[in-house]
Amino acid sequence: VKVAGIYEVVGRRTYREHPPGAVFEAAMDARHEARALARGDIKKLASTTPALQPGSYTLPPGWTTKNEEVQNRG
Amino acid sequence: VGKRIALKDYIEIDHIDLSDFFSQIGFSSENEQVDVSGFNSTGVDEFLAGKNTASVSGTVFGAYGANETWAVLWPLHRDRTVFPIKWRVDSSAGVSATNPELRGNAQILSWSPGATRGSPDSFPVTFTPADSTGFYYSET
Repeated sequence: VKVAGIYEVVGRRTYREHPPGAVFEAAMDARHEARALARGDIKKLASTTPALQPGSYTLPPGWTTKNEEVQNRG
Repeated sequence: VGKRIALKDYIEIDHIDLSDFFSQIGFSSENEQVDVSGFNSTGVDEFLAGKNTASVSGTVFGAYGANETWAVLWPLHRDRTVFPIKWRVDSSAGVSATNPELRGNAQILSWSPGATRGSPDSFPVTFTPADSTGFYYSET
């Protein structure tokens, strides 16, 4: 299970190559997050929901056919 | 890139940078030598590569503060946790073809700290692959 959020490195050691005091956004395995929170490596500032915003991505040319596009529109 | 003196290695255990608690680290990958020799006129043995056995072994300093070796490693062994490890030779540079990073999901199957009077508190630790992906080098 993946979880996502904004985290602050509160321990004295670098976490995922983010130095102490750094704030970073990440998606990670829920078990990894739980261990890091329990050890005091990081603090979770906020939960986030990863999402693609309209227009923020493009599909490779020819990746979909017209038929698939129609089906995806429902 | 030429010869190097090992000084800047980066070692990450369960996403925590424990580089300065390791004084030694090594990776071992061994393909089993399977004898498939048949009778032949030269008498030479013939082998195939069989099962692969790999491990990452190191020497860590015993340190008992928050986010230090005992606080990180002991619960991973005690709880039989599967966790990610990373090792690359140059912590001051990113992962690349000339600074590949060894990665994998590991577990600590044995735990044997010790101390000798007048000497630094250090002990061996071995990381064993925990899934069929095993340990692998990444260049990105």
